[in-house]
Amino acid sequence: MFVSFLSTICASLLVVCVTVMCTFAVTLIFKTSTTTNFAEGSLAALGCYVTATCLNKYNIPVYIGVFPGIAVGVVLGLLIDVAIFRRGRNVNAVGKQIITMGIVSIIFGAIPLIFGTPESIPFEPFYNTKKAGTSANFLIPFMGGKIVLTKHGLICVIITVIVIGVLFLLLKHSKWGLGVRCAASNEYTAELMGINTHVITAMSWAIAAGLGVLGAVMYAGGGVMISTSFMVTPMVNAFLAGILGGFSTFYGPVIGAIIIPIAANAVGFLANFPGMSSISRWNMVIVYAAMLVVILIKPSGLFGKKIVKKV
Amino acid sequence: MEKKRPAVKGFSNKQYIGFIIFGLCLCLIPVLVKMGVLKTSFLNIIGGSIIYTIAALGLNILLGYAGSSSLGTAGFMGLGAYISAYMSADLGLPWELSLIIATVIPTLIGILVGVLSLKMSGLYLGIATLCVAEIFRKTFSQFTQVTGGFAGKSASFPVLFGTIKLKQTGTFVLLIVFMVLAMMLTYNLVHGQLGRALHAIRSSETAAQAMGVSLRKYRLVAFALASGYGAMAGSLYVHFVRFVYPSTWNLLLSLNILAMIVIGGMRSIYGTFIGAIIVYAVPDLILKRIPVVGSYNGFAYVFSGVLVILVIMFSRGGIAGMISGLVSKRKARPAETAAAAGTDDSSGAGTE
Repeated sequence: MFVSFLSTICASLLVVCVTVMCTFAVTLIFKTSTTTNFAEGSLAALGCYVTATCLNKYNIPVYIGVFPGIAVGVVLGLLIDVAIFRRGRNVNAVGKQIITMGIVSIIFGAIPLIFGTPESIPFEPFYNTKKAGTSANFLIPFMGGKIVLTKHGLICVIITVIVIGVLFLLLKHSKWGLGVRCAASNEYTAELMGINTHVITAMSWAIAAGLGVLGAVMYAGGGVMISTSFMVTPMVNAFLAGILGGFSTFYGPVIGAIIIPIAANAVGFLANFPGMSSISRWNMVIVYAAMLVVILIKPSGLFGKKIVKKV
Repeated sequence: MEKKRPAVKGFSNKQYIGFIIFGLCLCLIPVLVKMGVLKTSFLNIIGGSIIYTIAALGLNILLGYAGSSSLGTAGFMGLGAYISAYMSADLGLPWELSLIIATVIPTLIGILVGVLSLKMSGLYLGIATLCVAEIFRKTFSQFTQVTGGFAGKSASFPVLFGTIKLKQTGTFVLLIVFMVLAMMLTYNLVHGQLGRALHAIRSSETAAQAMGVSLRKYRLVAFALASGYGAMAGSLYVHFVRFVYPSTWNLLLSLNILAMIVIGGMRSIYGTFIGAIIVYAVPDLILKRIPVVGSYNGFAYVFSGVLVILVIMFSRGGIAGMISGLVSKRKARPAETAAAAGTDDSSGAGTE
């Protein structure tokens, strides 16, 4: 029983990685541009389409094809900041949200214009086990049973740990990271201190969009059909992870992003018990409801600090 | 202030007549369709805009007056739609009763959700309400006994008082009646005690509390109103479109309704309708009919996205703010400064 529970948890690893990527991206924008970037999912999807085109038209393997996708994401992220957000600084918080929605609309229309009518484009995982002729899973013997772990999931975990680890190090020790933390705490003062907040936010948008594309490629490699809106669910989960962990830190949302998919699978696992078979259909509802309770008790998130405004 | 009161009352009667004339003008659309001047699809699209206007009016009270943002509108609309469809199609209740039930239950749930707004504000509150909407959306797709799951659920055109069977045109007129009523109710609410209390809360919570305005009571009332309007719009939707899918009630719809308010103009009743037309009807009605541009499927969305961004970046206070700005320029100087102050105020209304 315990082993199959561990297998269930391991099955959520890929979704954890994708959610962590999206969450980090969303948090970066939340902190530097004070808005919820609803275009994150669409940007990621667009980048993923670029990668898919590389894969299918030019037969480039995915671990190389992912880079053009990320490059497109980075350029678009920069463009959005320079062309729209930098000029719309005096737009209020809701206005900024609507601007990101406008970007969603543009990308939603642009994808069929650029890539034709995109329906169920084939995609491949980072390590194409079908081509290599090996099993897609690792079986790890544990306590008399076997834990099932997909190879794609394991590769994604390694990539995520490296990428997010490097980003955390950059945040902590690089000049850019210091700038981000400064701009996040008070943009005006940061400018007074000689920090070029324009560069900081532009870089944040670029990194956020790139992370989104990488997450999308991982997600698609796991066997999800790509479409204009296939990244909406991870993006929504990223926002929810943000308030679960608390946007006031960077590690809080990331931990939230790890908790949500694992909790969802853990609740789904209860279906193995007699009389509970329908619970797997309701797992997301239960997790979201539990999250609401947590937020009600701790409104600034699990790891958030309440910011007291002084007059 | 006391001196102005009677004048305001006279103005409000004029406003009522304005709303009714506006409704009557919209009633011309079915006539024009019958005459063959406009296409039948026009009716569907304007009908949709009217439904979204009703939902957006409720959100306008919450966002424009109370200053709390919500991304849960689509969830409440869906809830209203499904309850109404279940009541009228499965339980065989009369249309009027199912409309009332479909409005009351989500309103009560809306009060519960309003509790969140007592604990948090701004973007956090927006995401928390998004969480509520996601719970609803998942429930719509999983609670198959009532909602029909992914296959969706169908309903019929309303039957008034058990005898008058409406068709599409009749339902369209009914939508207009409800929108005019919603506009009147909104106007009354925001120009009464509730409106003043919400104004006070938006400008300063502490000051409002010091004046004896109960934060808890008015926040919850604002949330209840937003949910109630949304649910009513959802109920009307299901009897106009006659079909409902779980995927309709997603984040994008909530954002679209939010966009209608911001584009039309915060705290403007006619502006809400203009916003609904721009966000919902313009891509379908105008952009898709332009030669070359309209022949490509995606162009309409690209253009409407660009339009949305441009309006937000360059017109403070939305379309309504722009119009009142133009009007005030023609008036004498003192009036100009007063109007300018008014538009500045509306653009400054954020969530935080």
